[in-house]
Amino acid sequence: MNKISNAQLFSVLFSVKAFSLICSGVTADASQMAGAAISIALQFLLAIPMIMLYRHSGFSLKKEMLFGKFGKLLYALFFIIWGAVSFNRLWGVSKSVYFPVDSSLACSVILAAVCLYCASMKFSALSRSSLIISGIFIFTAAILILGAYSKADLANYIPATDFGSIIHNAVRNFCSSGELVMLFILLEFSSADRHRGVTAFFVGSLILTELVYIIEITVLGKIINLTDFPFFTAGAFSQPFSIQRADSLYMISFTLLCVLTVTLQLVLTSVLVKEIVPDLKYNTLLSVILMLGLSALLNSTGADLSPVMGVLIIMLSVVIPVIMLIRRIYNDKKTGADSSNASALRVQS
Amino acid sequence: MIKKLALTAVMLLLCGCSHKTEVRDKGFVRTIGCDSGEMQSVAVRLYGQEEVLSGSGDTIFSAVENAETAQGKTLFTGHLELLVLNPAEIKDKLSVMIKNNRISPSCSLIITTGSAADTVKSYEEEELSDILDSSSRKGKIVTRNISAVLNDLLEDDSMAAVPVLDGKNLTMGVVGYDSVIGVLSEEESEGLSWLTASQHDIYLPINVNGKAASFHVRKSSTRLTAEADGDKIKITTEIKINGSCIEENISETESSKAAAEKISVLCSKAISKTVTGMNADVLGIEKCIRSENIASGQSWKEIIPELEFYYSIKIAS
Repeated sequence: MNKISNAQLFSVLFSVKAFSLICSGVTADASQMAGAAISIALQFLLAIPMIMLYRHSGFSLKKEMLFGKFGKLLYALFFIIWGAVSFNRLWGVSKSVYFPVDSSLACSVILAAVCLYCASMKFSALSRSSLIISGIFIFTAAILILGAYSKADLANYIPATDFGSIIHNAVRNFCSSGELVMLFILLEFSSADRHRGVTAFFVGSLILTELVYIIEITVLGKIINLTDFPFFTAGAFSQPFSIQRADSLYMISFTLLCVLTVTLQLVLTSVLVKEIVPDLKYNTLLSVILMLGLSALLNSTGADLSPVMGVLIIMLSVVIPVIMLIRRIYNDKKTGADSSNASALRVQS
Repeated sequence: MIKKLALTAVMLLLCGCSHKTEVRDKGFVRTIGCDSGEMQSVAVRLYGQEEVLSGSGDTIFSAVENAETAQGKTLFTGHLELLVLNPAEIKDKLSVMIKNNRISPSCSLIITTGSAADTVKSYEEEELSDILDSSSRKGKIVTRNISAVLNDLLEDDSMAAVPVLDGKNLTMGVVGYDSVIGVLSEEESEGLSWLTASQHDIYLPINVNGKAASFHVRKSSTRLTAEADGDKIKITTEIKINGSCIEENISETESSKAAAEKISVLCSKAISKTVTGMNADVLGIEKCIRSENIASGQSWKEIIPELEFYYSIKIAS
């Protein structure tokens, strides 16, 4: 596993966030915007213990994971569930948005094969490609803004909202932000001055979320309630070129982001599984099969995994890192006290 | 570096190679006329073809599919320019189209008081679009696309302003979920254009001291503002005009005053017919009020009696 730079840490997390955002079926409004801002600010605060933990000399997640192998299994399980949810989003979008594929299943299997190939490359290849993919997405977003500028009606934005719905939306947003869990694992591979990449990610995430929401609100108006995936509908409504089909650009961007997201889940799952069962072969293939199987199950049963994801996110990105930080500080103090006692004894003798 | 860029470009271009259909095997739909009854019947006009295809089915898309069987080409509706509908089930038809994603949401809409399919058949290929464009250019009507009309129909008043073809006469009208609420006169339609759209390069006939003259409007912009004023809500339409009188012997002040008066009269007529007469929010008044956080909790019908309209027409030469 290679080290990743702060720019790569930013682009990896930003791309994953962008994928979640464009596949989101959330109906944007003022309370969603405020809720998302609160949730991102809260996530930023919760990232501080993680950064503090990694600042301790000699800290290694591999060696000091809480609950040892069971803890690693929980993280691996989370990434498998998230990978399955990502496939499910792909199915949903390809069914709802006009996608030139004959079968959603075939589309998922082909993408899974692509992800498997990408996961077989080094992690550095993935982190470098994330820079290109996030660049393509930023270009796509610029096209969307260009098209939306003339179509947007600011009167569609109604600021009236209540505190209860803001808090409700903040909780919902937090419970769907798995990037925080991913951040905790990725910090292990990032270089010094991690806070730069983390800060850039949260600032970028806030700007992107609010920008996409405001475009959806002002361009779609009441139609937002009729659409399954508001980002794609907003893209179709705000055509900046006379050819009227700029939405193909959003589809390319969507596909690249999907591949990056699933590959990242695969790579992280594979790394964790290898640490739990070092002799297990074909763990990447097994992980992708598990993801596809779970995704098919979710698709056929229509089960909503959001509450499970929410609980896992809180546990893996809040509870475990904070306990690990407290434990580390306590151990450091104890070691410091022991060593000062020892030196005091040496002085006496 | 150049090789990498070329490879990336080739990869992006290859995305379109799967499931290809040759352009010669595709029929690009220009206009669809659709009538709702027990069955949906459509008249489909393609780009560059004189013949009009007809079909019927349970839904508008099955009707288009049946029209497709009349000839060998696969019909592609992504570049649809104009949709003509009869008033029945307007909202349902537009919702289906927006959800389906196969029709561009920016295609223009005309409602006919008669049969939409017959209307499409009775006009030449470009004629209907040309009439719509030319009337809009002259400031007689405002072109509306399907997404804008559906958006208006989903508002509290459930009504939208849309070009209505009544016989051979094209003016603006107000439609509800499945009926035409009313058709505006030419003057009212013109007033609605001033209230809702920017005008470019039009000649406004004015009367200065009993003498007929033409006021050339180079461009105009309209802005609606809402302001709470005691129990009332003050709605101000600010129209900024850049233009001048083309007759040389008429003073600029007098011609500007006459143009402002003329526009105020047209706007007043449009408002009395639509907002006061039909209780239709065709100007986006409710959205404007809500965005200013005024009258929260009140429905559109409760808001109407509280409205007071003002015009601010600023002319610069």
